[in-house]
Amino acid sequence: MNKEKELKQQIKQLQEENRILLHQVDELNKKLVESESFKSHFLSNVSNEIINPFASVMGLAQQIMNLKEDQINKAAELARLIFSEAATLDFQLNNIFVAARLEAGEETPEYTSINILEITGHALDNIRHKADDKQIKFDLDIASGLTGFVTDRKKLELILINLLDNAIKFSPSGITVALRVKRSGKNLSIEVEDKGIGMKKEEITRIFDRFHRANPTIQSLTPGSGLGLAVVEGLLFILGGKAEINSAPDRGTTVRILIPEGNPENITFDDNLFFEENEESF
Amino acid sequence: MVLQPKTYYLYPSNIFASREIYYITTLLGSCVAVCLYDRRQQFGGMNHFMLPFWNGNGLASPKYGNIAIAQLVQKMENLGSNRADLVAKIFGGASVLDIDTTLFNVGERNAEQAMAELNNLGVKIIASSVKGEKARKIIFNTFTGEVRQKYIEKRTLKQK
Repeated sequence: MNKEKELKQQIKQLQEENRILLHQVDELNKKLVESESFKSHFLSNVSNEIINPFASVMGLAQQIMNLKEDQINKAAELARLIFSEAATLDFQLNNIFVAARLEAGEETPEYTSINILEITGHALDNIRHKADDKQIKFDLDIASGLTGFVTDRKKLELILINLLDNAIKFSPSGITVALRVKRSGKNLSIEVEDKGIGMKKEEITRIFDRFHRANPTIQSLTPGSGLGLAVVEGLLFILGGKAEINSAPDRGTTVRILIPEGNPENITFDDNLFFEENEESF
Repeated sequence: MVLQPKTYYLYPSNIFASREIYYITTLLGSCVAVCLYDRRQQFGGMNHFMLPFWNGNGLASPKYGNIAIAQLVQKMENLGSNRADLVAKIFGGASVLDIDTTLFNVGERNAEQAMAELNNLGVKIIASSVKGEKARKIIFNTFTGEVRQKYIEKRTLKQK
């Protein structure tokens, strides 16, 4: 009798496991179908991302070539426009190349001591023209005395640009985006807060997926490859960091990332290269 | 003159392969590393993955076994290997208790995924040291194909 009970219990458990597995397969299936359509969106989006700024750069350069000798102010203005188009191009290409390296398993941390003011400055320069276009202002709160933090400079910069770019992209004109950088224990804490369109809870879990773009209705209005946050997540993994997201529809989004200080000597090829003992060979 | 191999530390979810002579080294807890060696041309490559399958989250990176193994084989072939010359050695997949994961038996599943995927791809597995409870440190000589392994006490190993 007892045995029968036991068996019934086991069957129940297996059925439950089966149900969970089926559910997971179903979810995965949906993702695959979505992934295919995202991929094709990606190709058409990305060619726009590259071709449009390129066409602008060429057109603007041509205008400079045709200027008269006394039109130096006009030249400076055109050069500014060229810079902003080139910055957009640089950022988009960077995201694509880094995503490709992450997917090839070739991205490793390169630790140096950084100056956070310099890095935030660079990041802001890169997206300033996009902010200016929408009259978006920045409220900066960057803790002083943050020099000498050890992390990967290029990766941190790309993370920052992606977060700021998203904040601008998903905000209406004329609002303020807050950027707060400080040391929090052994971590570098970076917070980007916007008062933009925000997201529903279900959306938040999907935003790190590659090619996924929050809110398909604005897909055609806002440019982008859909790679940004997938790249951010991949880079955070390498730096040992993590991201927290708070968002509600029409209330805006706050992304907070924490990055632990890197130790360049943490992982090296140490003197155990030739194991002294207890070594096995295969 | 003795030829001194270069050394390369392989980070989790990365892949490294080269025709030059390398000592590739890595630390493995529940993660699994596959060492592929081209017996005819005498060079090799290694991956280091953390989870058996990509579930569609984030990038399709070699953090996941199904991707990492196919990519490593591809990389060897791109470097000029014939698949028939490739042999594999598998390491890791321990059930290290302090790993922060919600996945049940992730180490074991990683190891099994490696075997299944290599069988699928028609790559012969000639040696393995997998599962168990201890973390491992391995060094792969890509010229001779030899892999040396040492067990590491749990407490000294950070989560890998």
